[in-house]
Amino acid sequence: MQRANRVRILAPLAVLALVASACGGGAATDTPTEGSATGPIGEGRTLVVTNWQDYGTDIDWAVAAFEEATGATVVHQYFNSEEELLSLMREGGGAVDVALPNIAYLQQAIAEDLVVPLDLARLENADELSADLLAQGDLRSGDDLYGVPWMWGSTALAYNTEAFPEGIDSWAALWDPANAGQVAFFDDPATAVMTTALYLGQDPLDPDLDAVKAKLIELKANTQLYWSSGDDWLRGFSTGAVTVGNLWSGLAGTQLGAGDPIAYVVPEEGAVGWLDTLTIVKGSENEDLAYAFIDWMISAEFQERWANDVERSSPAPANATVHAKLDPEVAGRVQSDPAALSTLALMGSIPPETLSAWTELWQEVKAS
Amino acid sequence: MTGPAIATRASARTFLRDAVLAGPVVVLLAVLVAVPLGLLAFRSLIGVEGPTLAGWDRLADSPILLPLLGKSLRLATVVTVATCILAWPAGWAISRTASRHRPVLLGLVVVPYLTSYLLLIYAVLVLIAPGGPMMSALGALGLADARSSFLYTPRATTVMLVYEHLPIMIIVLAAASERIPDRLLEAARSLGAGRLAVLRRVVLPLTVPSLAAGFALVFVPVAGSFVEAQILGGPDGLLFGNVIADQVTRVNDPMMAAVLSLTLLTAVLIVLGLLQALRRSVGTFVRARRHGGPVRSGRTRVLAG
Amino acid sequence: MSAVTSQGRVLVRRTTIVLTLGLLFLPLAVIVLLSFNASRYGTLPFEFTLRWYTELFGRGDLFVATRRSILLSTGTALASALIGTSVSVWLVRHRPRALPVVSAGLLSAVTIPWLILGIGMLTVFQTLGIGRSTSAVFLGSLVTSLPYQVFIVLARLRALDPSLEEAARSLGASALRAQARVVVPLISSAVLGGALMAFTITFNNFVIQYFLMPFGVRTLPLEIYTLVRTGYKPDINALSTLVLLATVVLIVALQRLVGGVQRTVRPVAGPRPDRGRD
Repeated sequence: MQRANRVRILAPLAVLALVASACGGGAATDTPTEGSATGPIGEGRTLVVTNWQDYGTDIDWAVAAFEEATGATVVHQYFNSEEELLSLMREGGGAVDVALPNIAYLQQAIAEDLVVPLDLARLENADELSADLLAQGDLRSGDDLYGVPWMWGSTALAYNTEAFPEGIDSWAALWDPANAGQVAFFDDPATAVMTTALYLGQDPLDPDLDAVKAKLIELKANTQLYWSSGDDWLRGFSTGAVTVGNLWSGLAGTQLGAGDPIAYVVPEEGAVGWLDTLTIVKGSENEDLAYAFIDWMISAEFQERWANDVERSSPAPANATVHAKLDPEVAGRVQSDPAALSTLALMGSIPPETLSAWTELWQEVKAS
Repeated sequence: MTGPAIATRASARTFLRDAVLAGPVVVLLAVLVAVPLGLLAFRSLIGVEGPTLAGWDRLADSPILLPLLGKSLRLATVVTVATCILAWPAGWAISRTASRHRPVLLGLVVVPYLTSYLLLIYAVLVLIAPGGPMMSALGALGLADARSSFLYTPRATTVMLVYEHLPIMIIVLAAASERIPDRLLEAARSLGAGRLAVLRRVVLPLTVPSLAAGFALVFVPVAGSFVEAQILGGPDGLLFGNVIADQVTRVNDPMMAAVLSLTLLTAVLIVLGLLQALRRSVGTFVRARRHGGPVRSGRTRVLAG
Repeated sequence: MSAVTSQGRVLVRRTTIVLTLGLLFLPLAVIVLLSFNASRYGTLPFEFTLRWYTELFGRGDLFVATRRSILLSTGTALASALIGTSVSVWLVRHRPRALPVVSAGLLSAVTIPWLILGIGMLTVFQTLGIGRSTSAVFLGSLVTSLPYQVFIVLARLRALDPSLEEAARSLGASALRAQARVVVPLISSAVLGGALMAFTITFNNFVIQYFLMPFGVRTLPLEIYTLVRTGYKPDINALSTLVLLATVVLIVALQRLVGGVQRTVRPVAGPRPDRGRD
């Protein structure tokens, strides 16, 4: 059974490899797949992708381009939490082919044997990926790579430019008594602990928890709202109840695109970063299609076009060539400058005991 | 009715009748209520490395968990009492309208229930936001500063929860009031009972059982609520329910989730048990007072009439 | 009793009802208003637009989810009316001694917060090999709405004067006939009320659906939850407005229907005291 599967997968791949070499491997033409040169590789087949809704993989033009190039049909399964994603992946191949976990959950997926090791040589556009991102240890287990970097971003300082005409660039603004009652803070234990550790100049992954806790309790006096969804923040911000806080870069980009009076900066102390990855689910019978889809998703063409979409702004593209191609205003909106990566503390997989301790700390802060 | 054959047939028929009438409900309750509870108890004792009491130890040692439980129970009590007070007049009034109008009124009461409560939470948020319709109106009346609001304070959670549970309480109290016939009240009055006496000795005793049911129907969901506090409650809004939800959605700690769930459940059961005991003592008290009294004879006459 | 005080009493009652309904409908009015407001985040000043309605009709998923919710709720309401009423009759007429046990079971279905019940049920379904599925959601919804159905019908059954049925039987009606002609009409509004309750609870039962619905299959609450997480647009307000409208129409229609039935039933078996004089 296993062998039969492999043969079935390998056959079209062999054809694909032949075609690719015949085409001369022109990396400049970023069509969804090289297979398009000989006719569709995915005629009559269905590729199931699981991701958050309205998050890039399901943009109509992106899906249409892929479907036209491969002849395959793309179906989306949406999840509402990373936990839900993991259980979707547990249902295994056939149910889902490509999944997009956050890097913080990748190690768990690897440990549960839910994803397969990836061969970068099968991705035409892999060379263009940011080397910094690709070097992240949490993408790997042993020598094998399991997740391909797709989109990254930060949870950094956002403020209302009308309330702070001079601008701010330090987390100290959140603790400033002058801003009492105007602060919104992301209701997430890991972000809370890591951000405070950065502000205190400590190791974000191993800080002095007592100091962090004291600082967070201090912050509570200034806090108007602990936001937990993008909507919470938007409502607080648009009613003027909130003027400053920590925010996802993607949401800040959306607001900038909509013309809101908001500024978004990675403060001098640094900020928490995140990375979403593309994986192939173990047991997928469409590995060739999955590779083609991943290749399209990391292509400069796709990532640039998405970045330029004002209505649904993308986070920062993992394809390192995109930043230079973007208009400076767009680059500022999607925060695509790779230099920012060095100031971010990337939130990788946090050991369960640590996360548990952080969650308890955060609850104690909220209950105090 | 003698003879073993008839008896067997009768008992077979009884069995069939029982199975058809009660079977589905009994099986459903057993499999989807009793069994999950057992599983929960089992899981609260199983850690990563096998059987352990660590979860219960953590509950006992935590400086926040039990106080939070107290906070949730206090909130549930306040919300339930407020809901009773707000719902009673409306429930009574609806029960006294012409019977053909009653379904439509009760239907209208239920309407808010039919929209997603998430949307209702956001509607209330917009309503009470600083500079929103309510604060603007209060500001115009000079009652409050339009720019300030109690949004993002625990009071917003309380208001939302009262609002959310008002319909069910109105329905329960309307149903209870409906069962108190007007003639009973008239009889009591004609026998010389004053307004207060009628309320205390006729209405209250006849409503108490339903009131207890309504209390449970509101108290339980409020004690386990968490979304309202998360969205409206602000920095001081944390409730015990939030901690339970976090165990499932954030830390994925089934043992702690089971421990906390059982704790909440036990606390709720104790409160409901106390309520039941109270109800019983009130019942005996009322019955003793009523024995042979004018009201009782009034009731008998009405029902016999 | 003078006519004036009884008129005054009617006025007080009406005012109470109007005020309470006003309070209940205030946030709903906000939803309706916002569905016509141009601002995405419900900010004033009000600026009229129909944009959210056109956007709503442009996307099929919300309608699919709404239809799914209606189907699920209707199925649950029907099943709950059927088995809930039969168990109530059984408890009152045949096995009063089983009452404490069954009501304890029903009460625990109410007493266990749905958050806990949902997680527990999922575990059971997984153990049974059913897992997340439509039938799991159906059974889960049924369990959470049954208590309301049974308690409403039970209350009505127990409030019934047993002498009515006895009278019918002494006048020669068979047990079945007595039940069909006397008991059923008397409890029909309670059964309907219970079913309506079951429908309502299921329609809005986010927690149970969240834990038991197969991934990717969304009911309205799940769809809204997803949209709220990703930042929802007032097109949901537009949808809610339509749902509200449909509900109110349905209630008025139902009232006509029930009112008609009651008018025809009352003279025969209504609990009217004057009936004794017939």
